[in-house]
Amino acid sequence: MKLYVDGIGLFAPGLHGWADLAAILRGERRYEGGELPAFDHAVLPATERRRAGKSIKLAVDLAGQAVRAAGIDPTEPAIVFASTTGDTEVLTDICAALATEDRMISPMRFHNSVHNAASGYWTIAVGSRQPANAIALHERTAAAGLLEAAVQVVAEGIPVLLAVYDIPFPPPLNAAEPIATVFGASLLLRPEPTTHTLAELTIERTKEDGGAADTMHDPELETLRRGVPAARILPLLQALAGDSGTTVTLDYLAGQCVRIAVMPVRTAAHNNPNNQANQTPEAQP
Amino acid sequence: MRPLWLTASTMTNALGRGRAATLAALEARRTGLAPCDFLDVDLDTWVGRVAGLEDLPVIDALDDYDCRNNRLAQLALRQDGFEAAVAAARSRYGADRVAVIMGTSTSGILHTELAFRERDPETGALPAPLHYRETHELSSVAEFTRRYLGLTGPTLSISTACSSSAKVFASAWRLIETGLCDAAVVGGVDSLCLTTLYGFASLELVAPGPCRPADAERDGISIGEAAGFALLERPDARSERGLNPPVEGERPTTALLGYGESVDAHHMSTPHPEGLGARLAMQAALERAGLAPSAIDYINLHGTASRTNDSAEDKAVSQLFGHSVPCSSTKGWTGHTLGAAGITEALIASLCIEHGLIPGSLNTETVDPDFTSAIQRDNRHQPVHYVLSNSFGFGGNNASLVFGRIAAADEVSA
Repeated sequence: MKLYVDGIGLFAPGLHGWADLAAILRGERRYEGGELPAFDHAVLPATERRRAGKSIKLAVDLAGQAVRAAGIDPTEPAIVFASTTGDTEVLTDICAALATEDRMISPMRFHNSVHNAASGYWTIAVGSRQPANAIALHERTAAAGLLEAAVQVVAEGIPVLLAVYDIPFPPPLNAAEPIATVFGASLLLRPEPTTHTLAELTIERTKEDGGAADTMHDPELETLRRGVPAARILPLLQALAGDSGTTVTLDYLAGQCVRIAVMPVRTAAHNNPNNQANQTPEAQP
Repeated sequence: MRPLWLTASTMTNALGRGRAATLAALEARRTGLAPCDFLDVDLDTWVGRVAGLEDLPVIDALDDYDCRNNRLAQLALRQDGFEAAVAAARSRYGADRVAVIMGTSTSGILHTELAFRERDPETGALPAPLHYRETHELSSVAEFTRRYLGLTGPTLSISTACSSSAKVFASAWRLIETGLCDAAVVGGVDSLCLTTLYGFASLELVAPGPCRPADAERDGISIGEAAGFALLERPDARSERGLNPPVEGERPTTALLGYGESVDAHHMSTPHPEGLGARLAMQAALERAGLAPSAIDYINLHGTASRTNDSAEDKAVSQLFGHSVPCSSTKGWTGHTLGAAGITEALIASLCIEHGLIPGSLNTETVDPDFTSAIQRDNRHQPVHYVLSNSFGFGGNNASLVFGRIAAADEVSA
């Protein structure tokens, strides 16, 4: 399957936006973690902004980054949001409330608990009526999300906005299901190259034992990759930050990988730094 | 689009185990709903519960996966010769060429809900090991199904609330179309839990009695649980392996002809009042099927019996199909099985095609006088060639499917 990356978004401790991570991946500085950035969820109407939980804010932030970087109308792409559990905080609150005497859960918390809550908020905010999928595959969620998005791009011939993201469980569920920190990445994928295209991807599922998935050279980034299901996408981001073509392998099902050949595309748009300055509030879709 | 055949299928819900149980209840107009006796739930409502799950643990080899949701999956997989049909497909194509795509809204959340009652009073810790990944994480039932059936093809869990197991058909079609697999097991499993019972109650969407879709006095949903699976294959892939025409007794009757997906962009828990997103999904499904609205013989409505859903869906159906295409909801039989509603109603569509049945909406006494679609109240028997099935969920997430009868000519030419 061949497709094109037109925009990238990123959210991680100490990093907000693709430019932050790309500098590290190009070896310009080391990754040292840090505080979580503030979510950029200004695109949400005031009521929704109040109601949104952390995973919704994260997904909306990521979606906005990729859409702005790709210069695409946000009502155009179909949506694939991938997360192992979605809103771990809402889920924990609900399970705790249901173990109390009165079992009262708030209507808002209940509708925020569905896995497609984030895509619901995003599509309401930008007025998109395109198909929206919400998927999960535990620690293979990043590869599964990439495959589902790529298959949509190729089979339907449409642009797809992919966001992979996770937030940690609070106690007591964090002991049963440890997710190390907040992490998310987003890609705007297209069936044909445009003036915004950053790279061409050729994706295949390998069944032979192609060895383990790629790891990150930077030990801090490798800790992140191992600690958060969504961060298993980091080797692909490493390849996207490079100047030359390379092939990377992401974890998929046992004994299988998703292999991606990444070929950077040089276009005039790359000389305009505003294309990747995707945190300017006035550039909201 | 190129059709996919449903070469095997199975369903288990409050009407019983296997397709024949659902068909018999549809024909006899016998509901599976009963006053709620699930655990210690103290809500005044009716549910569609699957009997016997408490005594049917999953197989020893997969005992980490043991929870109500996976028990329901396993019970369904054991009906209708489905395991044997999948085993045959596995030998035709290879285990890694058969995908598993499952829809669920709440997965095995009941397992975690009950664990919270057992927290350590001192530390607040949950009982260990919890087996969260195997019981509750959203791909739990996809992973269980894949292992139970011995498949290693592409695997995915879709969780878009009540459209989840309708969207599995779209994802399967794309995976097959792009050559990532040759066949797919699609399905949906959702089981009773406190989250949905108390959650829908908090939204005042739960009816005190059995749900009454499209009725003037309808007052909310009845929650049910269900599992359903279908094996999807390309007819030409079967032909290449000498399987067409099929042997008598294994003759597939139903093909997936189209799907349509959309969102409302309106509200998290209330549908667009004019059914705009619903109409977009139905239109897209018809376009993919290459069918005019008038070709559809029967519409299986989402028809939850909530005031707003039924009214919005009636508007969308009337705008697109006019006022004469027969339509009904089957939720008066099964209840709203949430993440399993899409597959349950897809397989009811298949039963309707196979047996020439248009089920009249159960519990619908007086059709809402504001409705203009052709809501059927009584069962009818007539040839059924094309059925459209709707599934709409929270987040305004919509999916519509078109199924058609496989003609003898298709078997030969395929």
